[in-house]
Amino acid sequence: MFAADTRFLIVDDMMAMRRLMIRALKELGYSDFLEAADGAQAWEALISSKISVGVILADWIMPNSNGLDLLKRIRSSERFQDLPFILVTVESNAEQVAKAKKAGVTGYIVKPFDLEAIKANLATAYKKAAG
Amino acid sequence: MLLVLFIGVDPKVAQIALDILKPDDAKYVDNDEEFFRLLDHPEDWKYDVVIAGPLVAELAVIEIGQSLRTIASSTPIYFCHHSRDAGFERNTFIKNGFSDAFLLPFEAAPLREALEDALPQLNDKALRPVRMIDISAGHALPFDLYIFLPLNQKYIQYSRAGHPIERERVAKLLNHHVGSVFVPQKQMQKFFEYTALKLKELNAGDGGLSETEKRIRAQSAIRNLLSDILSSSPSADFNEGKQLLAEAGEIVKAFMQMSGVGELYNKVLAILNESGDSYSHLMNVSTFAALFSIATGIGEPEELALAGLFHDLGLSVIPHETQVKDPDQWTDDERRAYQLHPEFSLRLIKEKKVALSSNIQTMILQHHERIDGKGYPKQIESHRFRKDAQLLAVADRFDELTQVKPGQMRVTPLEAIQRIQAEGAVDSDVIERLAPIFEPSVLNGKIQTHPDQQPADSSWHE
Repeated sequence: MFAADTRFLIVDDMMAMRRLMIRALKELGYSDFLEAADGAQAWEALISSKISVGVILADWIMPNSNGLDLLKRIRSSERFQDLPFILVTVESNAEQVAKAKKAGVTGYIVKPFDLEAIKANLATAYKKAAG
Repeated sequence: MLLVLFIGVDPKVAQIALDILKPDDAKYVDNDEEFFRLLDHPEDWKYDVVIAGPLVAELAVIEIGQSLRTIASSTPIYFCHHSRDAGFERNTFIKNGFSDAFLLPFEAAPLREALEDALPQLNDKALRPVRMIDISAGHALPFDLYIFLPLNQKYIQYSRAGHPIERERVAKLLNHHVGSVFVPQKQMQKFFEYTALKLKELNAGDGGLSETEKRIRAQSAIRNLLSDILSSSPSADFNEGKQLLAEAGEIVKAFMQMSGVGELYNKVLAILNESGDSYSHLMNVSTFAALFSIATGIGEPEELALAGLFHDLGLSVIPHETQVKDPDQWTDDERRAYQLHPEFSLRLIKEKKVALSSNIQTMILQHHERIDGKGYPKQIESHRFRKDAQLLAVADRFDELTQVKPGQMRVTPLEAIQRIQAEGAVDSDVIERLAPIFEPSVLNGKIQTHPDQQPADSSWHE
């Protein structure tokens, strides 16, 4: 599992949802969080963070640059191409999931999320990252 | 008790939801701070239902939906607003965590249905048909009243507890030929108390009514109350009849609480209830006797109710075999003993030191006497046979005749009263004063109103 000092980047235009995600991650023992309200902000946070971000949890639907755009940008960058990226979204139809997979998503959590879903996704993402 | 969370709801819209959720059954929290607190403490969630609107600063509607749904996975969360200007998009809302979305007031009915489906607490929408003896404009009833619209096959709320009914609504009710009205099961006690109070007022006689007017209104009230029982045919559902009579009994019980003898009445009921057996007969006689007294103006209803409960107390000293035997097969000794039971009743009352007025004691003693002097136990002459005792005798016989007993044809209430008349045990005056409540032509259970509220065209009363 990801170490307790892993830095998380939470990307959601909804403040309430970021708060709930952070609250859930705290429950799982994590305490280092960055927040961003859209893809552009997230990219900015990612490249300027002194401590490397260990996992990104991002909403799909956001104004400006959405979650999928962010994912594509990350996967096409050399520095972050292997960064665990979990989409947290209300979009749950097969077509969209396939789209996200094609873009290289690590995990996929459908809102409303619960602790178990987050835990299971993180565990899978960690295994993938550990190769 | 329902716990309801309101978040960002327009006040007018909230009122519509409140009307459905019934203030006395629900507790509300209408506070955005609570919402923000829950984001950090989702474990504190305790609400049964959420009504949300768009009026929370800095929050998008779907943000409220998503976050609430994340906190409370199975709680019904409804978006309610008065217009589409906040981007009312039902499917989007549902996708984002809301259970449903309603434009109010237009969609108040679907909201009600959704709430009733989702909340079993609300779902005890069980309604009891009742007979209202009085609905007056400008007055508030202490219970909700519903009417049934046969065309729409729907129950709709006619008036709300504590809210005065407008004159037009009363007229509407009368003009629309509404046969029955309904009260929520859980508010039945309020209905009993209200009806008892109305009967009390009627019996006391209020300002300006002549004795005749008062009598006509009292007869009409009792006829309305008992109409379902009185109009029942021999094939009518036995259990329903029992239930109706039990409800009439509850009204008399509430009536008794308003007198000084309420405590005694309750105590005796409790004792009788435990002893089982003849409980229902005593209770029925008590109920009929009290209501008959109100309808006829004979005696005091409170005294007749108590006399009804005690009248057969003396049967407890008569051997069981005698009681179950056909009276035609009694030996002389058995007959003599049985016919002494009114006296035994009095003796037991004295032994148990129950404080009953001499009127009540006389009624109990006389309830098997006859105006031809051939009754028992004392074969008193007609002029000594008290009118209230005669009424008790009628109530006793009436219940006996209309009870369902194995191997015995049940008679209709009308037949019963006709038979009692033919038996000639009581004065024809007593029967005549009672007769109006049995008139089949008026057994439709119409609602009585004050004369000045009667529509000029009284076609509703056909």
